This record gives sequence, structure tokens and C-alpha cells, in this order.
Amino acid sequence: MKSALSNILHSYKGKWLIAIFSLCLGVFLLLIADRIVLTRQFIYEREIQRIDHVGGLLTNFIGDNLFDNDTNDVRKIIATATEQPDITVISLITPARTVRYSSDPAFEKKTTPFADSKINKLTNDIFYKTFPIAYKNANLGFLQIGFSLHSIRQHLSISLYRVFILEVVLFFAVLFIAWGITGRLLKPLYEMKEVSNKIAGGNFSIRAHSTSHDIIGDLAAALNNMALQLGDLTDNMKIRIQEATGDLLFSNNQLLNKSRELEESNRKLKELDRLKSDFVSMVSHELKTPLTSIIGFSRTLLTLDLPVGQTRNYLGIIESEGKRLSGLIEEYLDISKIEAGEFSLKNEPVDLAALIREAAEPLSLDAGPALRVEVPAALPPITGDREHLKQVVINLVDNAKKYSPPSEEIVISSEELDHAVIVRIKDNGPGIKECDREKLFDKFFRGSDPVAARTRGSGLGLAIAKGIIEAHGGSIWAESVPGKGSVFCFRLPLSERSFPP
Amino acid sequence: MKPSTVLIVDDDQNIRELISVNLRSAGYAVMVAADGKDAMELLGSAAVDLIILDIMMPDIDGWELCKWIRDEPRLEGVKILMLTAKGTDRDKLIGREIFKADDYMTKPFEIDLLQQTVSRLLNG
Repeated sequence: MKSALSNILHSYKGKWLIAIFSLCLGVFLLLIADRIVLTRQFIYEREIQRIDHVGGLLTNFIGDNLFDNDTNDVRKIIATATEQPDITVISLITPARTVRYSSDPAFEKKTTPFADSKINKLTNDIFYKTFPIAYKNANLGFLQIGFSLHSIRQHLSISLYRVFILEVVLFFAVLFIAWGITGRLLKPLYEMKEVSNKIAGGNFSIRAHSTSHDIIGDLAAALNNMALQLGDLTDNMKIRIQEATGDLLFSNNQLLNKSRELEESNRKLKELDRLKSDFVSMVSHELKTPLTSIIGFSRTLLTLDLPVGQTRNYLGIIESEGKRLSGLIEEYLDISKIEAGEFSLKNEPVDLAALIREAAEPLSLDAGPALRVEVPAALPPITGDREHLKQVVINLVDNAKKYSPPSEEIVISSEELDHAVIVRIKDNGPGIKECDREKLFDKFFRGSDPVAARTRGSGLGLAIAKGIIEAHGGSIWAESVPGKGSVFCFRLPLSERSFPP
Repeated sequence: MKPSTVLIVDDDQNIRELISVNLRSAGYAVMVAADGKDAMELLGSAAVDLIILDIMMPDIDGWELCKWIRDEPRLEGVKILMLTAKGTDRDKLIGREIFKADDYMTKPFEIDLLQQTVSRLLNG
């Protein structure tokens, strides 16, 4: 309650009302005071005029009668006059200033103060005025008339009461009108408050409707201008933010891609590192095993006296282990050259059909799966390095033999297609596991299958084959359905291509 | 005196032949196994004093076989000589401390050194 009142008193409207209220109150108080003074003066003057008039008349009458010494008439006149309204007492006073006759017996025979009472300062209700009675220059005494001020005062208070009522009504009317006017005056301000609230809430399209050519109109225009600029600014910012967001998304995507690429290459590097350390351990094992045999058997032959057959047998082991070692070293050298891009190939015409038969022949003599060569008598000539291509065929057939059950057949076939020769080596082994397929031609990679675990290899054969075929401008790939064997294929372009030396 | 029996476990035939011919000539009884499975079968029936064990073998590798031997109460006291191309200090430590091999030799090895080691392990 207190705070509500305080709110009103501290509000703009409240201040306005208090100001108007104070102003009105001041003005009305002044008006009332003015009224009181004016009315009193006016009424008193009118009364005094009336008193003088009545007094004058009575003095004339009484003077005539006194001159004629007709006291009865005088008494009648006084009695009659006393019955007039507002006249309370009339006394006839001798020139010696004693009361000769009075309408009020209490005044008779008394000496009365011979003086006019002052109307303004009267404390009682009766105003006495004394008129000299002169007739034909003879002083006949005085006539003192007591006028009742009751009605005058009544008039005065009624008049004041009316004024007061009127003022109060006017006061409230003014307050009421002021309330309305301040409301009307403040209405555009309230509207602007609503508008600015909505602007603050983000609605920049709203406008204040004030057309007055004053400070409020200017304020509304400024508010509208602010809303417009805020709207523009916000739109601009939105566009910028959208652009920036787009840019960010783009960069983010790029970063993500980059990070994915990095992750991928990191993964590849780690894989390569793992493969390399596996390779080192494999190489050391692979190289050390034949070395152990060579050194060990040489020492044995030198220290022990063995039968000739056993000696020859051990010399054979030393030779074959030496060759194995040499072959391994050759492979490592090949892969290093391929890696370093220093793989030099001969540039000679190659009869691929003859080359395949040549490579297959010694292999078909070995135990294990049979080898069937379905290659036409002649294939279109290609240009390349005969020995290295033969190495590829031998490697692929060797692999096929490792993976094929002894009862199954390995088929080598070829065909000419699109200015190239495609050679296929098909086995009926277990096929290639899905997880191995991608890395099949990676160097040092060895399959995760029992055959790979059982046999010893450098993991370089297919990588070298790939390096050789690609150096010939060809391609190598494997097709396989797990459980249904695999087909290793390579494609070599026909002869018009020549190779860099 | 009954000669000491040595079991050679290696998947490389040449190595088996190399070690056995030298140990036989030095007077040991020699048995050979090409893989872990063969070795386990052999150890089930025959009594051996020393096992020369290759680490890199398919299926059951040398580590595994070594652990199996050490967990087999019947084979308590059998000496184990690890023989492998794995030559790092870490591998030696694993061989000695974790798999409780008695000694460790790397390939390629000197035949004379192998003879000495075998002799040392068997004669305490």
C-alpha cells in the first residue's frame, strides 16, 4: 500500500498531478480569500448604504414630529420601524445625550455611549449607528438605531459556503481533467515504452505512432530510427554470423578432413612402422637361419670326419642355403630400389606366351598341385624386362601352389583386351580374407592365414610383383571369394609403349 | 654311464641336422621334434635332460612350449636352452626371467659355443 502510494508519487503522472494539485490549491485558496474580502466589503457597504438610507428616512420623519412635539407619532414610527427586519432597537436621544425613548425599555433612562460602533469590529450581533436629528437648523437630539447583523452574516456565510462548494467542485474537476490530460499527454510516452520494450525483445519492425511536432514527436522519431538501425544492424550481424558460421563449418570440415587424413596417414605410418619392425625381425630370422646352416655345416665339415655321402649332403645344404640367402638379399634389394624409385628395367621385346611357359615348366615338375597353362601359342608382343616379368609369374604361381590343396589344379590363362594383355593365375585355395585384401600388395605384409603362418616369407613377393608390373605401366590385382580360391591378375600394355631406361 | 639325452625342437630341418650331428659326435643321445606338438608328444614318453628350443615356430611357439615344460611337474629339472634369431636384450630377459629358460643363444651360433653351453648345462 505504502509502496503503491510511493510509486504513484514518484511516477511522472503523480508528479504532474501533484504539481497541478498544488497549483490549483494555491489558486483556489487565493480565490477564496479574495472572495471573502470582496464579499464582506460588498455586503457591508450595501448594508451601510441601507442603514444610512433607513436612518435618513427615520430621522426626517422623527424630526418633523419632534418639531411638532408629537411624541405619540414618534413612538408609533419607532415601533413600526422596529418591526422592520434587521432593526432590533431604535432609541431617541436628547441633545444632552440621555435616552429619551427607546423601543427596548432596557435602554430608557440610561446614558448610552454616544458613538457609532464599527461594523467590522463588532463582536456582538448588533450594529449601532447614531443619526443627528436636525430640523430647520435646530438640534433636536439623536436617533440611535441598532441593526441586526444576523442576516448579513448569514448572507455572508451562505455566499462563502457557495464559493467554497464551487471551489471544491472546480478543484476536483480540475484534478479530474488534469488526470485525463496527463494521461493523454503521457499516452505517447507509454506507447513508446511499450515499443521500446518490444524492440528490446527483438521486434525491430515495430514503430511508435506519434506525429506531434514537439519533443515527444522527436523522441518517437528517434525511437523509430533506433529500431530501424537496430533492425539493420541485427540483420547485418545475422548475415555476418551466418557467413562466419558457414566459414567456420567449412573450416571445421576442412580441419576434420585434415585430421582424418592425418589420422589415416598416422595409422598408415604406424602400420608401416609395425610392418617394418616385423620385417626387421623377420629379415633377421630369415637371414640368420640360412647363415646358421652355412656356418654351422662348414664348421661341422671342418671338425668332424664324416662319410662321403653325409659330407656331400651337407655341402648341398650349404649351397642351397647360400642360394636362399642370396635370393632373399636380392628381394630386399629389389624392394629398396622400388621404394627409392631406382628400379631399372630392360627395354626389350618380350614374348609373354613363351615367358609364361618357361616360368611354369620347372614349377610344374615340383610336387603339389598340377599346373595347367591355357595361354595361346602367341600373344601380341610387349616391351619390357623379361627376367623381372618372369619373376612376377614365378612368384604368383609359387603363391598359388602354397595355397592350393595338392589335388586341385592351378590354371594360368591370358587374353588380349583393350591394347593390353591380361594374365590370370587361378587357384582353388582358401581365398583371400576380406581384412587382408586391401594390404595384399603392401610390402612386408603377410596374410593372417595358417599358410602364411606355416611358411616363411619376406612379405615382399607381391610388393615386388606390383612394383615390377607398375614400372611396366601395367596393373596388378586379385579377385577372390573366400573359400572359393583366388585369381591373381596382371595387365600389361601392348608394345607401342617404351620404357625409360 | 648312460649318455645324457638332448631334445632338439626346431622347425628348420637343417638346423636340427646340424645340431644333432654335432651333439651325437660329442656322445649325447639326440632326439628331434619339428614343432611344439611333436615335442609335447615326445616328452610324454621319453626322458630328456636338456631341450634346445627354437622360439619362432608355427602353431605352438618356443615361449609357449617353454611355459608348458616349466608347468609340467614330471619335467622338473629339465634344462632348457633357448635358441633363436631373436637377439635383443629384451628377448633374452623374457627368456630367462619370465619363461625360466636356463640359457639363451642367438642364431647364427658357433657350434663350439653350443657344445660348451650344452656341456655346462648338463654337468651343472
